Parts: sequence; C-alpha cells; structure tokens
Amino acid sequence: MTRIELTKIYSQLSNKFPDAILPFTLPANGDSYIEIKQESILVIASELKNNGFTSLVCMTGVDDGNTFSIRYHLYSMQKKEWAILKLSLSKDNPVVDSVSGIWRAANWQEREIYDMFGIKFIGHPDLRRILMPEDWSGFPLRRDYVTPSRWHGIPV
Amino acid sequence: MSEFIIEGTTLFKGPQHPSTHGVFQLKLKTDGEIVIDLDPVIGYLHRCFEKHCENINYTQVIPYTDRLDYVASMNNNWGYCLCVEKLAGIEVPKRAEFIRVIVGELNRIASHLVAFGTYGMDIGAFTPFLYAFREREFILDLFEELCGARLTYNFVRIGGVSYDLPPGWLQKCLEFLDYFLPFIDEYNNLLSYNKIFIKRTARVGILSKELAIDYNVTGPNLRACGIDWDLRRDEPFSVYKELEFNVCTGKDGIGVCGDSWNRYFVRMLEMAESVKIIKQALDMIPDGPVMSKFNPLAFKPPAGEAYARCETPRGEIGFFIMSNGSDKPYRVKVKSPCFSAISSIPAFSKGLMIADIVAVIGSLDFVMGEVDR
Amino acid sequence: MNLIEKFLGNFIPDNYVIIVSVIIFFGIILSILSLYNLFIVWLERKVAGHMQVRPGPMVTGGFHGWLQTVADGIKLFLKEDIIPKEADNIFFWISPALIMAVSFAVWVCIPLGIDLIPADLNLGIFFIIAISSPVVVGIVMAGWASKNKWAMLGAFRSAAQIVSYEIPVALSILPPIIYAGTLSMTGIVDLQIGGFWNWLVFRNPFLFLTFITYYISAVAEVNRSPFDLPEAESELVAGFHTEYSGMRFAMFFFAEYSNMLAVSAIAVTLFLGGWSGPLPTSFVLRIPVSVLNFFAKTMFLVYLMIWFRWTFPRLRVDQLMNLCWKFFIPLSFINLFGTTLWKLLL
Repeated sequence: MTRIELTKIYSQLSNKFPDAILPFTLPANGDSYIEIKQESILVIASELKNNGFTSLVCMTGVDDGNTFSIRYHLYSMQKKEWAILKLSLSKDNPVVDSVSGIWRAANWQEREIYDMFGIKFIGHPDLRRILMPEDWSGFPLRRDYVTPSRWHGIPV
Repeated sequence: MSEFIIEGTTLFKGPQHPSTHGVFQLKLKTDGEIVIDLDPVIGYLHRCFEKHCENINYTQVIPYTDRLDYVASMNNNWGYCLCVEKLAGIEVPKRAEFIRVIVGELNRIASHLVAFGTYGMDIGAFTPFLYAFREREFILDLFEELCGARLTYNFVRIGGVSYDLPPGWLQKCLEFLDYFLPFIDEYNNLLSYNKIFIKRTARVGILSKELAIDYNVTGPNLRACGIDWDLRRDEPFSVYKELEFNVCTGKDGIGVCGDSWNRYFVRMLEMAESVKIIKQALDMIPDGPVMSKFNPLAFKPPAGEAYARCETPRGEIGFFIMSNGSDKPYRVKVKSPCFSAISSIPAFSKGLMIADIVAVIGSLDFVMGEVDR
Repeated sequence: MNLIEKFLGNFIPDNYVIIVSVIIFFGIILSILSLYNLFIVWLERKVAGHMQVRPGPMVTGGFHGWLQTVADGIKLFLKEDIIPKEADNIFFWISPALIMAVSFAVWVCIPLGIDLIPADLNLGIFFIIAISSPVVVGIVMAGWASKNKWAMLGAFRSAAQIVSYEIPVALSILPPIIYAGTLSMTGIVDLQIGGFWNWLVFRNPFLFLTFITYYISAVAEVNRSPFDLPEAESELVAGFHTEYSGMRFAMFFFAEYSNMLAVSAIAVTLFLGGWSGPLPTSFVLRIPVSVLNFFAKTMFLVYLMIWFRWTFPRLRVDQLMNLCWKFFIPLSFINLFGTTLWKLLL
C-alpha cells in the first residue's frame, strides 16, 4: 500500500486559509498530515465537506507527551482522495469545537475520544462516556494514567 | 393547541437479551409496541485493546485482533498486518497475498453464514441457523487444518502468513466450494424468499444513502443502500486488482434500497462472489515463500504514522498505527465498521415497532467484540 | 350414558355414578395428558432435530433419548422455586394453575371414542368455547404479577392475540354446527360415521375452508409459531413466563402442549369425523379402534403445528392483527353464510 501524501490538498487549503494552517512537511515515513490550528477546525472541516470529503472515516486521539492531538481521517468517495488533519491541544485545557454537526459519524467518535483522553468537544450534543462506566474516574489512554486497583470494590 | 407529551415506558433491551448479538444494551422508550426513542449503550465488552497495544510489541498485537471481530478473525489479522506493512514498508510475497485472499474470503463466507443464521433466528425461524452452521463447519475444518484454531486464528502475520498451505489443502478447498455453491439457493428458498420473512424485513428500517455516508456506515450495510462501493475493487489492497468479481448492491424490488431485507440479501449475494474470488485465487496461486524476510523479534518500524483499512465481512476495518521507532506501537486505534453501524441505529429506527428493532439490529450484523474493543 | 357410567351402574347407586365417573375420567385425562406431554416434548425435539440436520436427543434412556423429557420433567420439578421479590405473590401463584386448569376443562366435552365422553352436554361445543376463554386472564395475570416489562408486554400481546383470534375460531365452529344441527359433540360425530366422505370437512367447499380457517386461527390462539408473539424469544425474552422457573414454568409448558392437543381434538371432532374412521369401527375391537382413530388424527394435527414452528419465521404484531381482522374474520363470515345457504338450498 502506498502512503498517503497530501501535497495537493495542502496547497489548495493553504491558499484559501493561509492563517489557519501550520507549515507542512512530508514525513520521512508513513502518512502525511495537515496540521491546523485548534480554532479553525470548523471552517476547514466544512470547506472539506463541501469539497466532497463526505465521510469522516476515523477520528483518533493521541497523547503526544506534552500535548494531545487529534487526527481526522477524511475520505472522498468520488475523488478517491484522502485528507488527514492533525490538531494539537494543550494538556491543561483540552477543548476543541465539535465537528458532529458536519459529519454525524463524529458524534460517537468524539464521545470515544472524550472517554479515553478527556478532550472536551464544544457543541457536542451528547458528550458522555461511551465505553467506560459512567462513573469511571480518569482517562485511560492518557500516558500518565494509573489504573485504579478497585472499582466499586471489584478488582480491576 | 397543546402538544401531546408521550411519556412512554423505558425498556432496557440488553445487556442480556437473546437478540442483541453480544452484550449490548438498547434503551428503548416505547409507547405500547412502538419505539419512540432509542439509545444504544455499548461498552459492556470493553477489553482495553488500545491500551494493551501500548505495552506489547507489534507481533503480539495480532492475537488481540483475533478477538475484535471473533466471527471473522482472519480479516482482522489482515487489516492490522496491512497497516503495519504500510508503516514499515514491508513487501509481502505473492503466494502469501493469495493465501490471504483465500482465507479472507473463506472467512467472509463463514461470517455471512453466521449473519444469515442468526438473522433467521431473530426473525423467529430457528432452522436456517443450523443449516448455516452445517456449511460453516467445513470452513472451520479447513482453517483448523491450516493453523490449528477454529475461531481465533492468528494466521495472517506481519510480512506474510504463519504457515504454508498443507499438502492437499487447495484440493479440499476447491471441493468445498463446489459443494457449497448450490446451498446458497437452498438458503434463499428456505429464508430469503419466505413470504413472512419478506413481510417482516422488506421496507423496514430504511437507511438512506446520505445517512449511511454521513455515519460512515461501510461494507454490506453501505452497499445495501445502493451505493456501489467496495474497497476490494475501488481501493484495491493485496491482489484484489488481479481478481474479477462483482460488487453486490441493494436493489429496489422485493424490498427497497437500504432496508433490512436488502442488507440481509447483499450478504447472500456476496457469498457467491466470494466463491468466485476464491476459485480464481486457487487457479492463480504461485509457488514461493509465504513470509518476507524480517525478524519479528527485532521488528522496529521507523517513526511515523499510518492508516490502512481492509474490507472485512462487516465493512471497512481501519487501523491507525503510530510508531516512535521502538518495538512497541505508540498508539493503535481501531476504527470498527460495527461501531459506525450501531451509531446510526437511532437515526433511522425511531417509530418502528419493537419487533422491527430486532429486525434492524439483526440486519446490521454487528459483533460487539469489535464495537467495544 | 357413557361407557363408564354404564359399567359403574352395575355396582353403585345411581346417585353417585356421575360423581365417581367424573373422578375416574379426570384421572384418565390427567394421565393421558401427562403421557402425551412427555411424548410430545420428545417428539418436538426429535422433529426439530431432524428438520435441522441433527439427531435431537439421543442419549437419555438409550433408544433415541426417549427418557429425555422424563429427566427434564424431574429436573423442573426439583428446581428451586423462584418468585421475584417484587412480584405479586398471589397472582403469581394462581396464574399457572388457572391456565393449566383451563387446559383440562376443555376435555370434558370431547368424545375420545365410542361412548367415551366425560360429560355429554347437549351444548358441548358452546361449553368448550366458554371454558377456554379464561386462559387470557391467566396469561395477563402472569404477565402483570411478574413485575417485568417484557412479561407485561408479552401478556398484552397475548391478550390482544387470543381475544382477536377467538372470533375467527368461534365463527369457524358455527358452520359445522349449522350443518349438523346440533351443539352436542357426540351428535356431531354420529353424523360423520361411515367413511371419510362423510366427514364434515368434505361435505362442501365452505366447510373445507372453515376447517383451514379454524386450524390456522387455533394455532394462533394457542400461541404457537408463526404466531408465537407472546413468547417471542428474540423480542420479549420469554414473554409472559419470563420470570417463571421450575415447576411453575413446567405448568405453563404443560398447558401449552395440552392446548395444542385440545384444539386439534376439537378440529378432529368437528371436521375430521372424530373417532370414526379411517379405521372401520363397526367390526372388531370397536372401542380401542375408535380411540386409536381419534388420537391418530389429533396427533397428526399436532405434528403439523410442530412442523409449522420449525419452518416459519414469526409475524409482527400488526401483521398478526391484520391477518385476523382483515382476512380470517371476513373469510369466516363468508364460510358461515355459504354453509347456511348450502344447508338451506341443497
């Protein structure tokens, strides 16, 4: 499988929104991604959706050590083209706009990221834990997460 | 004019319920028999797959992928290996690719047989289930001969497959295909064209094209909506480029596009296509090694990230793997097709009856192991 | 005067004959039904098994698992009797007993063979319709007392279904009565003696249709697949008996299978000649042959129900009601009208 290179879509986007997009480098290995500013996600997401990126294939939260980041894997079924957005968030106050109004698939994906990383999505209709029990404390996929030994008296 | 406020009864369908296909809860708000609101609750089978992956090396992840979608383990192994191979740039030998296609499609048949059987049970016909399992048994026997396991195979490995085919296996596989093909008609006569079955499933729970794409519903469920999209043809991985097959889509006729009957029937059609694919692959399979040369113990893919998806019987399973150059993956994320399918249920099943909800969730054919991970 | 009353009349005073004979008949019916239940559950498993490319029970008892039901029966009777904490104790208790009692009471007016009828009431069939109605009460009671939403839903479905299907059943019982001109079960059977062409089902096309209507509606009335909505396991877990276990569950089970036999017996009596035919009952061993005739035909109809169950998917609630109100009830009226005209004009 060939890796995903986004040079074309990057040049289109950076022409239209020069302020919203951080400089692009092709990584030495693996898929590339377009790094965008945290506050401009909604603008870019709706622009991409209008350009035929109708499916939000995957949303991934990553704990990068000092920051959190979210990947948006977008796909256009007509053009058979990918767009991968990366968005970095500070660990102190991880808050980002929800894209669930643009792709409905984001609804549960964002709930999962909230559940696993504690990233809050502004404007999400129903931000609850999805996989973990509702009264669970802590966010398991954070790198500094310590597994509790007991939950309601049940050994974990 | 004052509005009517229907309070309704809240029914908790699951986590222990005969037709939830695993431990899955649907909170139904019902007015008599009619469901006015529903909320799927998942997470009862959460086994921290993604957390586990942080602490084990790349090869050790493969047995965990078996347990995602335990009805189609081969395809899950395959999806994960595709992603790692993409990340590390490993070339897979041709013979291994063909073996992957053969076992993947065999597993697709096995998985669709389970879908067919359990769907019959959901609708109230018990008998097709046993008929489906009769043929599935042969596939499991073939797999057992291949890798020693009947459910969780751990067969597809990074860079190839774990073992070469045993002598005579190809012949047995061909015999099975010739034996199996006529049974599809039997299944159709038994269940698909049954009057009561059609009454129960046709035009029930119609998922529109737009909704399906918006919710990123994939696989047979997407094709049943009438969208001609199959990863195997449109973004071919492995050797699917060299094989000829049709992409089966839902049609207006007995049902309408996107209804439960079409979602069910697309699977029946796909079984015949899988047989076609396997027969071609059996003819074309070359000799050679089944594993590329690399040392799994010292396997350290270069830093970077990759996303790869693979067409499993339930849709497109996507793996996102991020490497920091060590022998353990930094982050593994699974995008499960069933997760999307379940998330779409509330969008198109409000206003149906309780029995229809059973028909809808049965036709989506999800496996909770994959949803909860 | 039935056979047992005649026999008893030789020994004890007339005043007591009826009471003693009723007790004896009750014993006979209880044992017949128990044996039948042991057999039918085994048969259902075997039939299901063979339809599903598997052998069914094979181990218990040696020959084809013939002791399986006995073993299961013992298990059910020895099991802990669980009553949910929130359940309404009294009604939880009464309902299985009520349902089982009703399934017995039906047998009072069914002629099992020549001169073998517990009570030859002159409005026998009317009594049967009347006495089989309270089964709805029992089911609703069971569902309500369980304090379980699934059970409740099952009970509601059951109530709607049984009440609706009682109409086509009752309307389908009328044409043979009109044709025979009597409500007495023995009277109806007497009319059909002498070869299968005398059976009411073959007398005219309307009666044939009536038989079909009656049989399908009866399958629905006893909650058998494809009309087993009240206990649809994929939707309602187990319907109205979700919370029942052990012996009380066995009672529901018993009642269900007894009801299958009862509706089949009514169908045989009204349409298929009762104990007369296909074996001739006028030469040797008249009474055993007549009993054999009766049960052979009844068991065939029961077997059909088993066959249905393992073949068909289940209908939905609204489709079930549509089938009843929009198809069977009009059809029953047509049958009733047609039979009446036939009787008047021919």
